[in-house]
Amino acid sequence: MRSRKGFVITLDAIVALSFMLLSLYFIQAMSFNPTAMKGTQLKQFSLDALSVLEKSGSLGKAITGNTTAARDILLYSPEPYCMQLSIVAMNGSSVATIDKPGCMGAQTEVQISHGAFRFNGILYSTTLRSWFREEVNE
Amino acid sequence: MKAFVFSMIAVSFMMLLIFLAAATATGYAEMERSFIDPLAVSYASSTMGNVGRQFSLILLPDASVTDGNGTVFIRIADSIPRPATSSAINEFNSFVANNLSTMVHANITTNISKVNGSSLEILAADKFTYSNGLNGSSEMFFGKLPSGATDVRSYSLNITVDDYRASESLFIWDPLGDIDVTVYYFDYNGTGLSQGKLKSDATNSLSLGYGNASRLILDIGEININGSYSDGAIRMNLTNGLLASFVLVAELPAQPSNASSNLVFQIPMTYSQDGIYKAINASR
Repeated sequence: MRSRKGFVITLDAIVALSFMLLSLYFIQAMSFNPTAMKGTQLKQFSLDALSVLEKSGSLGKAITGNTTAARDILLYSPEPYCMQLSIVAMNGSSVATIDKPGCMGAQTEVQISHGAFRFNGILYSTTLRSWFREEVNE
Repeated sequence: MKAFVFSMIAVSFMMLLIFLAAATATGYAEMERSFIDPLAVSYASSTMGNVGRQFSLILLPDASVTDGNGTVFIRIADSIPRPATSSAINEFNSFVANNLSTMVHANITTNISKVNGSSLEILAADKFTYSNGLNGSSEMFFGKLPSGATDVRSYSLNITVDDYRASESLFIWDPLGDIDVTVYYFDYNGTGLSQGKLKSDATNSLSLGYGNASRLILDIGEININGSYSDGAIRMNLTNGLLASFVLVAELPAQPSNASSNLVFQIPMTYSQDGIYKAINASR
């Protein structure tokens, strides 16, 4: 009889522990996932970067063929961010495509920001694609 | 009875954990929303700022307002006549309504009806008006409208004309004047300088004659604009197709702390996207 009572208490404890672990699992599963936040941070950063490119005159220089200033701005963005700037004329012809150095490979979770830019009387559309750098497993 | 108590405690504890999990999940979702929701407005602001800056590039002269120690300097670099802006404005307006709206998945509207060809009126420091090419004229004006005194301390004006000067009639200086005036004019004859004091409530004129009987007429002091008088104002008028570029620096007394130093123009703009609605007056 005593061994049966012990068995019931142990079973009760196991069941209770199971519920507790199950609850903890749900808490962990529903815990704060910062992926969306990271995406919006990247989007916000790319909009700011596009604005800096425009205001610093780097877009104008890139249109005239000197892409150094624009590339430098992309280069000095946070290390995990990858970026590609495209400048397209109104007639659809590509004027410049500038990549942040060291950002080759797959693009996942891409954020795209658009803008307009007028230079020497000609209208251009600007597109900045941003994504997270692929982590290299060594 | 004892088992029942244990069971009740276990169930209560389990329910507590479940409620805790639900509350945590809700809290996280709300926290994420509180971060993400305002960003849509931020995106709208970014796009509208970009559009406003491009309108500025098309419409506005190179102008700045600098607040010094008890002094405000307004610097305007411009040309008469102003470069044609109608086609550029229409082209950009169409680009915003069609291309850019599609790209950012939003509905952006701009109302350019208040921009009349190459005409433009800018309000600086809340009460001073700079206009150039209003109603197709070849005239620049800076002063207070509809009337009043600018209390300007000095005007410095550099004028460049690509033509030969045929004649000149300079200001008649008044040592008791309250405005220090410095006018440099650069043309094919070389550099001319006219410097002295003028009274802000008197009519003072400088006139330079160029080819094809064209003239550059510069008025400083009391100026009649559509029947209203503005003291301490400046106006430059070119005739017979004469072209000139200029840099004007007006030194003004300190402005009220609530005065706006923004240069604005009238292009109401709206941005709507998935419940986000933002309306601004495009400005620089």
